[in-house]
Order: sequence, then structure tokens, then C-alpha cells
Amino acid sequence: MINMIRAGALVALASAALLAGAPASADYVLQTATAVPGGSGDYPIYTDASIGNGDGTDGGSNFIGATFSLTGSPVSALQVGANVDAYGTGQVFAEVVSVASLSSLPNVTGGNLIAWLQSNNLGEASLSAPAAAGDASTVINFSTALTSGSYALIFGSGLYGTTGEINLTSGNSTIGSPNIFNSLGGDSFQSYGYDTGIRIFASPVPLPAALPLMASGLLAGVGFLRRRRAARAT
Amino acid sequence: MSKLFTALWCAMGLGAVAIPPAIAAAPNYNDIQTVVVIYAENRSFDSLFGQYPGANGLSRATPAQYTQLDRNGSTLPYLPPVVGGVGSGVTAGAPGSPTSTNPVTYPTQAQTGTYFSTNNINHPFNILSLYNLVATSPDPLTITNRDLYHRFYENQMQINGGANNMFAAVADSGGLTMMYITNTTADHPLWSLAQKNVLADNFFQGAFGGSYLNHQFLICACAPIYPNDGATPTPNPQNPAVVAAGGTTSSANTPVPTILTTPLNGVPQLATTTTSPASALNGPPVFQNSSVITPYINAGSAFGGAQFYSVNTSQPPFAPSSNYSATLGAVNLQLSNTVPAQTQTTIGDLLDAANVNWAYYAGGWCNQLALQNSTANDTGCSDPTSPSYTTTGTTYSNANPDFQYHHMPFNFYAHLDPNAAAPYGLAYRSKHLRDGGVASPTQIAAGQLPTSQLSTDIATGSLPPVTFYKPNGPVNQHNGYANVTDGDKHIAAVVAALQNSPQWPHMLIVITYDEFGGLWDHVAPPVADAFGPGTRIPAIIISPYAKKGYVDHTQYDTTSILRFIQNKWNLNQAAAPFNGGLPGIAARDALLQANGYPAMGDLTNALALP
Repeated sequence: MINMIRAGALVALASAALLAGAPASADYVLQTATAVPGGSGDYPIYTDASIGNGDGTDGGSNFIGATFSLTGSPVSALQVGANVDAYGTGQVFAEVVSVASLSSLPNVTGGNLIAWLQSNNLGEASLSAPAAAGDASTVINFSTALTSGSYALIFGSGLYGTTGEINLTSGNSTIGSPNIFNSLGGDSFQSYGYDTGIRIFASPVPLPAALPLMASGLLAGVGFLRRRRAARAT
Repeated sequence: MSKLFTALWCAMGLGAVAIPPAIAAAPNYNDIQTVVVIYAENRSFDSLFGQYPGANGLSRATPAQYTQLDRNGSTLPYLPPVVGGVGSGVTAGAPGSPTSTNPVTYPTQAQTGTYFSTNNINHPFNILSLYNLVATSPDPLTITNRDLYHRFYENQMQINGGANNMFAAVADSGGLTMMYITNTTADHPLWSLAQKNVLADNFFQGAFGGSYLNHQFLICACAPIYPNDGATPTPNPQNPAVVAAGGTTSSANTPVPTILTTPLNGVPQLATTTTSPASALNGPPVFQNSSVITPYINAGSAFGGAQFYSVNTSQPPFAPSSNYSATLGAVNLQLSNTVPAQTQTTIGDLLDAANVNWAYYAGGWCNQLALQNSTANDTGCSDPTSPSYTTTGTTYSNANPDFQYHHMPFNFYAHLDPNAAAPYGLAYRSKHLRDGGVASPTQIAAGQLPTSQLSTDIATGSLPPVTFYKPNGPVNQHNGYANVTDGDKHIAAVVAALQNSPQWPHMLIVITYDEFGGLWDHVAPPVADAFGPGTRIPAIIISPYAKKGYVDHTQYDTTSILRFIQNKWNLNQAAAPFNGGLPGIAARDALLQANGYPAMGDLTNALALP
């Protein structure tokens, strides 16, 4: 019975993964923490002219991101996301930029973070605030595939048509020593290493050739459950 | 099963390695060496930060939490008119009101009377909509609106067991209690400070009601006790000067206890008169006696009982006090609202025991002392007659520092009696009660601090490890005599000075409000003891160790500040003279947990202490 429940849960999980497009753990190129529900606070991502942004003209936003590295084959699409609470609205953006190394911060030049983000954008996508707390994700398609190197995934609002808000949860279970950073009303990024309870993740989107294999795995699981149920019924 | 499980696992790529959860280590309090508490006035969370990103604000309030009921429990068709108008009792430019430059004419009773009914409003409303009745594009942050009462039993009736649906019905200001103010960048620097630090959105005022009791909770986690003779208050002690003049003790000089009637759903109810309007639409309630002290609280109830407790605005027994008599040269102890000197343990006593210095700085302190006690000024006010600025106006001046007597809670305690025996007395008092200066309008606008003991101690790195700062009237944000923006600018200037202090690298700044100011909030306070906690208020936590850009949902109240101080300096150790710390904290946490709530946090969730 326990095995059956486990298999059922696995199938449900797999189905949910396919439907929601959540990344598979083994494929993570970035995972700062595993989700722990019930944290005691949030880091809101939003755009608000009142926070200022150094340049004083572009409006402000609270930007949070983390670095990651890629090796091996070029990546043409990334599934990216974060663990958020249930109270966001609208859409924010997720953007990938290059960084010098996994341990460095995005090097904003020109004294204008907004302009720098736009000119150094390797690819971005909108991320919708979910109706319920949990992982929210989106897919960034890169016009030029990302090759081996170090990158940063940055969440923000106020660019690329986004004006919404999401609230990154705190208190998740940190994995290793993630390089998390933020920008609050300035034109540079600061290390955020002292609170690593933020969950940010990214994983390459599987190539289309891999999808039939996943689907077959699901079908096999469903078939297994049916056989077990039939066997118990007799 | 195992093969299939493995196959599925591999196919789906779910070969995650289990990550053990991080073990929560005790916070390293050693990284904080100076705690600075800045205590502003009279704003509920929703009324001032209800639209803050990521916070539990107005957008999360349900109709059940904001729809206001009439006194018979039926739903009000619309909010009651703002009794007397938005500006009732406040005249622009009047003494005590920093509104001389206010460009807005307040909406009148007639204008506000039709506004809610015409627009069918029974929900929180932007105060801008009322100002728009009479002005073009006013900025509510810069306007001083009328005061709204904020009293011990009235606040409990407004909260109504957590429903928060009787704010308008139990108000002297009608629907004004449901106002909120929107952020305007330039006039709201505390909003920006919160964005770059921590905003706590689950922080409740320590006690129900007003400033007086919440200032007591800030330093004592207790309600002052009014002495009793059985079930009647003891007449105030004779003032020696009165006795010398042939005066006598009289029961007429004692406060008449509050008159309550049958509790409703566990909420104490003030008894109304026969002429009290049945509907909130017809006017504020009229109570038989909403007094400065409770009825006699029986033994066995919260905090001991067999007492009268002093819960609404009362006067200290030492100058400066509203009951200071120039004729007597001292405070008239026989007046019914003079509180006899208190002897309960305060955080000051515990810090003394641990040999940790502390001080309570108050704006206008030395000036007010000079006005009342010129022959025996505290030694810290060596030159109180020398103003830090001059002005020809009546609003801001050293002759009228707009100091509020009940905002200096330590002045109610026997240990702060200037004539107390050693080790107390004048030197002890002067060491711990210090001057915060009086900022001029020019200084406020420019973000400058007046020269005072506070500004000097900040600049020289001489603040005691535990520092309280109470801004004086014009900059404390109290409805009725202060706007938001002047207080914001002043407090932001204090913060800027603190961030330039040699003590900043290990400093914790807590900016919060004493209480809700009569203004509605949608979150049900956790249920604890007979004194609180009350309505939710804003709190901003600033430190090099603060989680930047963070909204902290941890359950806190005013006494969370005391919890941090106790935990950092080990003041809650079992051994005498600490005896487990302030009794009110342990009592509150025990009752919270008995009622299914967590104990109050100690602010460390807002910090990233390595």
C-alpha cells in the first residue's frame, strides 16, 4: 500500500511537473534553496518610483537575483522561477545576464542600472504572480544559446512591459552557499549572502526529443497503478 | 515496484539529493551593541502602510474585516459623517498645531456628512477624497486632520474580538476612523526607509487604547497601578505643601472608576447613558464614565488583579507634569488624574541590575523642565533657557516646546523621583532622562536636528546601549496637532545621524508608533491578557544587520522591543534580581500560547545575525 501511495504521488508529481513546467531537480543549474512553507517574511519584487534608482528618472524597483554556471551543450531555453507567496499581482520579469564568475556580482556600468539591464539582457520572460503560494516559473528563450560560463538570473519589475509584484519567500532551506544579490534604489548590486533563505531556481528546458520519454514514463506509472488496483480488487 | 520507481525517477529526472533542513542557530545578539527605539504617534498599519508592496495591507482585507456595523450589530448602510468635520478642533496655525503653512481648508461637517452617504461608502477610504471636496490636489501627508479618540475600553470595543467592525460605531469622529493615506515619495521618507530595510507588518500596539498606557508598556510591559483601599481607590497622597496650607485629603480627589456593563462576546463594554444615540449615524456614543482607571479588577485576573489600573491619559507625579502647580512649586498630587509614583519593575531597573546604561531622550524635555521647575532643573539641562533656535511664532518655541507629559513614561516611577534617596535622585534621573531638543520648522524641512543631548550623543558615539527617543508634538505624527510628513522628515534626519554615528556598525533602530490613533486596521490582534495587545501599527527595523527590502510577518508587539533587550543582555535570567525578566512579558506569552498563538517575537527574524 505504501508503495502504491508513493507511486501515485510520484505520478501526480510527474503530471504536475509536466503541466506546470516545473524543473526537474537533477537538471537544476541554479537552486538556492528547497521550499519550506510558512516562512516568516517576504522580499517583494515590485516597481515603485518612490524607491528611487540612483538615476532618479527610471522609477525604482527591488531587484533580486543569483548567479549560476553552465557547462556542456549550449542552452537555448531556461525554466526559471522562485518560491513566492500568494499575494503578488500582475507580472514581473526574469532576465539573464553574464557575470565574470559564479562568485561575482553583475557589474553595472554607466551609472544607470535600468539602462544596464536592458543593454546587457541575454534573454528575459514575464513571470506571472500565482494565485497560491509556491514555486512560480516561466521559460526564457534565448535568441543566442547560452554557452559555458557564468550567468546571473535577475528578477525585477518595471521593464519589458511588466509592472506587477511578486513576493519572494524567506526561510527556505538553503543549498550550499548561493550567491544571492539585490539592488534597492541604487545603481549597483550588493551581495545578499547573509539571507540565503530565498529560493531561486533555473534549469534547462528539455529538448523536444526528451518529451516522449517523459510521457512514456508517466503512462507506465499510470498503467502500473491500474494493474495494482485491479490485482487488489480481485 | 522498485524497478518502475527507479525508471520513473530517472525518466523524470527527479533524482534529487535530499537536503537536510538548516538547523536554526540562536541569533548572535553580540552583533548588536546599541538599540535605539524611536517612538512616533498614532497611526494604524493600514492607515499609513496599507498599500506597501508585499505587506498584509488593504488589498488583503476582506469585506468582513472592513464592513462596519452599527451599534445594534446591523451593517451600516454607509459610514457615519465625520463628526464636526475633518478639521474640527484644529485651526491652522493655532498653538500646538504645525499647520500654519497648511494650504488646505478642512472639509466641514456638512461636506463630510453627505460624502459617505452620497457615495455609498462603508469601507476604507482615501482621505484625499475628503480633502478634494475643498482643495485641488492636496497632499494628505502634509495635512493635520482632526484627532480621533483612542482609549482603552473604546479600542477593545472597536476591535470587537478581532472582527474590527466597530471602529466607526465606537468613535468620536464617525467614519474618519476608516481613512488611509497614500504614499507620496517626497513627503514620506519613512516609506523609503522601510523599502531599504525591514517593514514589520504583524506588529501590534502593546496595550489597548492610547499613548499613556502604551508608553508604559514600552518600558514596563505593565499597566500602572492605582492604589486601592479594598474596592475603592485610595485618595491621592497629601501634598506636603497642601497639608502645610491646611488642606485635607478628600475622596473627591480620586478618579471615579470606569463603569462597564455586561461583556459582549467576551469584550468589555462601556455602559452608555440613556441619551446615547442608538445608531452611529446619529452621533458618537455617550458613556456613563470612561475614566482614567479601570473598574476594580478582581484578584486572579491578568497581572495579579485586586487592583485598579491606570489605563487612560494621566499625569506624572513629578515635573514636568500637566498638574504642576506654580503655586506649590511641585505637581499637585491631589488631582484625580495624578498617578501616584509607581514601583513596578521597568526595563531600566533590569538594565541597572546588569550594569547596562540606558536613556530616554524626549524632544522638549529640558525646555519643559525649565518652564515648570526652574529652581531645580535636572543637571542634564544645564542651560535650558538658552534656546537652540529662536522664533517669533507661537507654534514652535522653547517657551512652548509642545512636550507631552504622558509621553515620558519613566517620570511616573519612584526611582525617577528627583528627591529619591541614593542611588536614585537627581543625578540618576539626569543620567537617564535626557533632552532631544526642539526642532524648528526650518530644521524639520531641511532634515536637520536641533543641537541637544541627543544630537551630541549620536555624533560622539555616546548613546547608551539602550536608547529611547520620543519626538515632541510637532514631529510625532499625532492626529489633531501633527501631520505625517514633518515627523517623517525629522525621524529620517535622526536615522541619518545615527547612520553616521560611530555606533552605527552594531546598531539596531526600531521606529514604531505608540498606538493606532483611533484609525482602523484589518488584522485581528492575537488574544492575550486584559491589557492587550491592541490594534496593529507600523514598525520599521533598520540596522546594518537588517534584512534589506524585507517584509517581516512575524507576530510582534511593543513588548517585542523589550524581549530583544532582555534576550540580548540576559535580563530574563532566573536569578535575582532579574527573576525571569519583566513579569508582563512572561505572562503575555503564556496567555498567547494558551490561546493558540505563538509567543511574541523578539525582532531577530528581521535581522540576519551571522
